[in-house]
Amino acid sequence: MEREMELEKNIAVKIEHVSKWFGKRKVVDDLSLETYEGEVFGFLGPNGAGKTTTIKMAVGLIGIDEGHIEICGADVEKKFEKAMANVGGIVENPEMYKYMTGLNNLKQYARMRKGVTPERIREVVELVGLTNRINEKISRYSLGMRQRLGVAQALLHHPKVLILDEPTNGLDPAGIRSLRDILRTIAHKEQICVIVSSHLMSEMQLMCDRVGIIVNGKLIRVTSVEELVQGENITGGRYRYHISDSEKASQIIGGFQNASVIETDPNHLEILLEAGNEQILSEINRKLVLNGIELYTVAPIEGQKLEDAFIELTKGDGQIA
Amino acid sequence: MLKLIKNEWIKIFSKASTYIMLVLVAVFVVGFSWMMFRNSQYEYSSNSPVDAKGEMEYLTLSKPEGYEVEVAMYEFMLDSGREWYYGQWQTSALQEVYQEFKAPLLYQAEDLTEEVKDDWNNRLEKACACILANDWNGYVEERLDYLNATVSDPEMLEAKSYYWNFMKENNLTPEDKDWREESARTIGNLKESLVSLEEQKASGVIISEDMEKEVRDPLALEEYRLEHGIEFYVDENGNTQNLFYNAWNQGNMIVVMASIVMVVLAGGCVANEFSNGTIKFLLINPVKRSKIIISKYLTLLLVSVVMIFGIFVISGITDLLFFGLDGLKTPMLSVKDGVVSQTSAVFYVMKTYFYQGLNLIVMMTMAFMISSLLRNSAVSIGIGVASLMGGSMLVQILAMFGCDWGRYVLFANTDLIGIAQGKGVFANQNLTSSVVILAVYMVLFLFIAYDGFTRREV
Repeated sequence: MEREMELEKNIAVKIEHVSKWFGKRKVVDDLSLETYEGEVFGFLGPNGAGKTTTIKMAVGLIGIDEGHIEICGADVEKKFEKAMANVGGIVENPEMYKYMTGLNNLKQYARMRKGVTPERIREVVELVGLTNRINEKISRYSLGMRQRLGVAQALLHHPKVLILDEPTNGLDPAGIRSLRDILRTIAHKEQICVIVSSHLMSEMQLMCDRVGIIVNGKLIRVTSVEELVQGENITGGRYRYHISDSEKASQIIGGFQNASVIETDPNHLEILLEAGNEQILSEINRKLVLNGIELYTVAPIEGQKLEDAFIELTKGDGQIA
Repeated sequence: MLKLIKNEWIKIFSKASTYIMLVLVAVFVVGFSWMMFRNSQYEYSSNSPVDAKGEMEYLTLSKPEGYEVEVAMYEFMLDSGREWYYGQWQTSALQEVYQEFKAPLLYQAEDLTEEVKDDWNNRLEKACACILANDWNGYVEERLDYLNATVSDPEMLEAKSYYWNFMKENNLTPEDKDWREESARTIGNLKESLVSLEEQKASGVIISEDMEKEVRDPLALEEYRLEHGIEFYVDENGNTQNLFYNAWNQGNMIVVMASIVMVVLAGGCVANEFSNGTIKFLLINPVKRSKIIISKYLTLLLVSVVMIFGIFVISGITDLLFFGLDGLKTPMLSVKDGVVSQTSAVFYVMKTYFYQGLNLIVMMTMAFMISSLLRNSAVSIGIGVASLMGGSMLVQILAMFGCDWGRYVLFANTDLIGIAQGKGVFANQNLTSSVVILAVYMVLFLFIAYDGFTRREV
């Protein structure tokens, strides 16, 4: 059933066996990927993994050494103008012409694309929440405002594919949330394929439908976010206990086969459950209470899930490849 | 494409620095006109009095060759009991007759017959009498009488008496300060040279065509001026006595200033997109890179043309305001094979601005190429300005060391005004070859700029 659903979706970006060398170093290695209209796709990888390089190839900023990339059926290198007509994006930092106002910057891009009306410009400005500041010069904008203007710029011409490289950089928490809402809304309602790259795992977990994990230029896994978090071969859940006697508690928990204690201090401890063993949590709790330990709170450490999965998958040893 | 050019135009004219540079150029245009005007207002006093006593003392002490004649003249001046001034016809006439009559009487007395001596003493006296009486017409008659009596060759007689006859016929005296006087004097001198050239030719001396041309062409020009009553004119090299045209023509130097502005704009055109990081937003649009680089260049070209034309027009207008509208009537006269052709001098001035403008465009293109290739505005602007300033020096050094290949260096061909006048640094440089060399460089620059922009990775 789910497989049939996927076949119905339109392919937005098709990356086929793409490789890229910087000198002798192969920064992208035989990468193949398809993304669909109506989804938010996340590129996840440590610094220097090849996320930005892949994105740059997809928007024609750098050449493709091997393989090819199609956007909505148009080859990026052979039919550049047709391919790019369907793409909006921010690559690396949202740098604009500082000596112009935000509105004049948008007008610059509007002139380079087809069918952008003044109403559309007003619409995207409103969407990113810059209406009150749009007539100020960019030199007075904060990084977050420039990031918003970058998103407005990318959306001007109703693109089918929106590519954002590290879009949450420099945004405050409220900004991140509103950007997340904007992206999810336009992806699902307007059937746009949004591709974001990030190394902020928690952010990706909330924003994306699917993620592709890229390490040393190789795409090592593409899954839905839920699958990644709950996948069988993934470490499992972490929980934080607030209790009266952590020493006694850790002895009790040590008796369970599928649970292990990671961190402890007199009143707190963290345990790790192997994936798929969440049901033993109630058993642990009951046993703790029966043994006279005061149980104040138990909380899952939610944000850590994807991060743990990610570190596991990338065998992160802290070294940039 | 038009929209892309509009984009680039907006980018250039959104910056305050562009306006500052344009205002500076405008200030230079007006300032230059004003300086030319102020310079023209300065009076050279030519009528200083002759210090006859002092001159005599000096001459009797230093005793240079032929000083006796001059001492005699100054004695006459002192005896006359009146003031003498340099620049007055009386003073120069006195000098003339003393050299002509007194000198032979003093130095060649033994070779002369008594009859001749009497005659010359007589003539000297008569001439001096005319001079003392301020009788110009009488003086002219004396000169004509003397020439009729002494010159036998009719052609030579006509040449030598041309000036005197002209003054007589037109009822002119030097005090009228009429421009025709100077012109008639030049014609007389040239006619004299021409007659003596013909004489030499007849006696078997080989006279080159160039030598003859050097006499015939200016003669034709001066005769044309007198015939058509043209006081002021612009000659083939742009020299003119007319203050308006002189100022307007010299004003083409401001275009060099504008070259610096264009080098700055061109040097930043591509490089600033990289240094500001805006290049990624520019290239992510559904527009081919080739179109972007071409529209960038076309915009710079457009700004250059507007600027050159603007300087031409504004400096023309300010010069008209300073020097008056009359200057516009000045024609341009050029002589070819003894035939004078008259054209509007506006076209000549336009041509000099055009040549300077070509130089500007070449320099701008070079800065544009470096900007596209190195993506560094400081380097491109630096090299561009250094070339503008030091390019001609480099060529002069090459010429000094006899490197003839230096003629193919870009900067040897940028001074098109000089080359058109045959003043190139290297032998046999002409306008056609220089324009061809410049065109080759331009093609090369544009190709490198195009290739550098379209193929590089961002």
